[in-house]
Amino acid sequence: MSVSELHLAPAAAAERLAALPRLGVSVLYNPSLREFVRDHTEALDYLAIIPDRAWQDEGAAAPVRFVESESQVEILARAAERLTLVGHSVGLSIGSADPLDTGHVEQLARWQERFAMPWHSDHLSFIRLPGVDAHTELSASMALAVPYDHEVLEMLVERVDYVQQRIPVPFLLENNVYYVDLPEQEMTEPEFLNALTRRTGCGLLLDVHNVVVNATNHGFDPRAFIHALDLERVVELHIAGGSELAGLYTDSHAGPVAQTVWELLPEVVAGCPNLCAITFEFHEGWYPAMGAEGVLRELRTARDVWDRHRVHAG
Amino acid sequence: MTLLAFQLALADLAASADLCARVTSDAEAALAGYDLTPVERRRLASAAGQRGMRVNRSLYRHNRVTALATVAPGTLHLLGDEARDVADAFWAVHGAERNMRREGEHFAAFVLGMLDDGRLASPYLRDVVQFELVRYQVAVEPRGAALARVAEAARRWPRGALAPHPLVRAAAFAHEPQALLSHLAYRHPPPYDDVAEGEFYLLLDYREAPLEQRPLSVPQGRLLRGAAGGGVAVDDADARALAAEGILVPSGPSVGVARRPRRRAGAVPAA
Repeated sequence: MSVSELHLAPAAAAERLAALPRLGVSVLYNPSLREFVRDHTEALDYLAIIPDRAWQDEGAAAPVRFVESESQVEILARAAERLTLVGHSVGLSIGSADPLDTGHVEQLARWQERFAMPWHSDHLSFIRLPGVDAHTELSASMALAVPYDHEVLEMLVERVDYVQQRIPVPFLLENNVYYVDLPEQEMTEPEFLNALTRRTGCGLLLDVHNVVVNATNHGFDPRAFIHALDLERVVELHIAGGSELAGLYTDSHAGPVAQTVWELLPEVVAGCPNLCAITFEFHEGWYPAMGAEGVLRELRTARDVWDRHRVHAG
Repeated sequence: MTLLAFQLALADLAASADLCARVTSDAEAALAGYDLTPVERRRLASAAGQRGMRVNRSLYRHNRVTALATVAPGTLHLLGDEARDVADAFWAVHGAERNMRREGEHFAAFVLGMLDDGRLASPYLRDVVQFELVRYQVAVEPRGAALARVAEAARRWPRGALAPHPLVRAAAFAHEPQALLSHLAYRHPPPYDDVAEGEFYLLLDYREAPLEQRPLSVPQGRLLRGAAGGGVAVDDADARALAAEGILVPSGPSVGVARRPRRRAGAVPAA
């Protein structure tokens, strides 16, 4: 089945967003949270996971391509007995200019089915680079933003269609963070995201901290950016903190949620009628400093915003 | 093709301060090897000189160091002040592998190559880089599939040729490993005058999680390492003891079984 043979009507795909369960507030799982998830299940409405961290990709030419970590799978399976899992993958690299990695899509489909995830997401960026031979897959070592051009939009529309056809739950793309400005782009980021979601019916994972990072570094108004988006497409929010590096503000997930994110959050939550989840993400190296109480504090603050400002369905 | 070339060039800029400098001074010449449109070339020329590209380069280095530190933390510690130069030299010839085991294997081979040609001289480095690579390799071995293979071979060839269990490895050392690894665990700077030299082996055993390691006798270490590629006959007490522990397991029919591998006089144990 080729990428271009598949198409899910955008209207049908969009309708699926409105029917998703309103889950609430949680964390993006990292290894530092193993005991936290076990001991504080009541503080979590679901658990966001990064499926790609539970396997090693041996490459398309390997006899067994995805070698799963039994210990990681066991942890997630145990969590899935008590919580809905939501997949947030990092390895699809849907923006890579080389052909879509359909093997990776198949692996994501297996995981969606295994854990009955109500939706799944990845990043609107590229990280995979073509290797020197069939056994080598190289990485840019970081997620790089795609140019917001019509050529890239056409490529992505076809790929999102493929993913949505192959995996029978809504697919969300996350707005990326970027540290360099590419001149002469054909669309603004909101124009590009709106066109992509309109044409495919896919959802948005709006990373509020990414917006804050880009606004800080590139000098635009984060509120204006958010209001330029079609917020009906937003299913999940990411909230996080950052830090300074080389004179810029970075999306380092450094501990607690940034104050600017908290200031924006009520307005964002109130403006997203199909919002289902707010996910707190932080780098695992910060857990010793924050501790369980620090994580719980962030979750309580997010839950307060969720309870006060979310739009009730119907 | 040009979008692919643009992405490769953007990734290359994030990996190389030198390329950024060359693009900033003469974009036409520095980007001549990439099949780019004029707009893409202008975008890259702009990006190369931005502060944000410095952030990209820092993130690139951080992410690649994290991979090396995951596979080979003791190796980086032993490299000390040289770690930065060694990593730069490695990155200059090896793009970032998506697969961390392969990234570790390339790095280990690179470090061993530098030891072989005398560019690195730490006396402990060969032991540690080989040990850390083997430890990572066995730790990411899919246990379920390996255990199923062992069970199937035992069922089909209960008296068959023996080979090391796929979830065990023997790591060779020219320095007493427990003392050496203890120094590394506490991040002590070398030299380690209390660490004896000689021929030593550690068994890395992942038949049950978590991974365990314990010393092996020299005959058993040699036997296990020599047997890694083929069958072993139960012709002496060491092989019988390893088989009784399930470290050597039936792996196939007993036809054409090799005898205990013999070491040439004066040979140094290979990794």
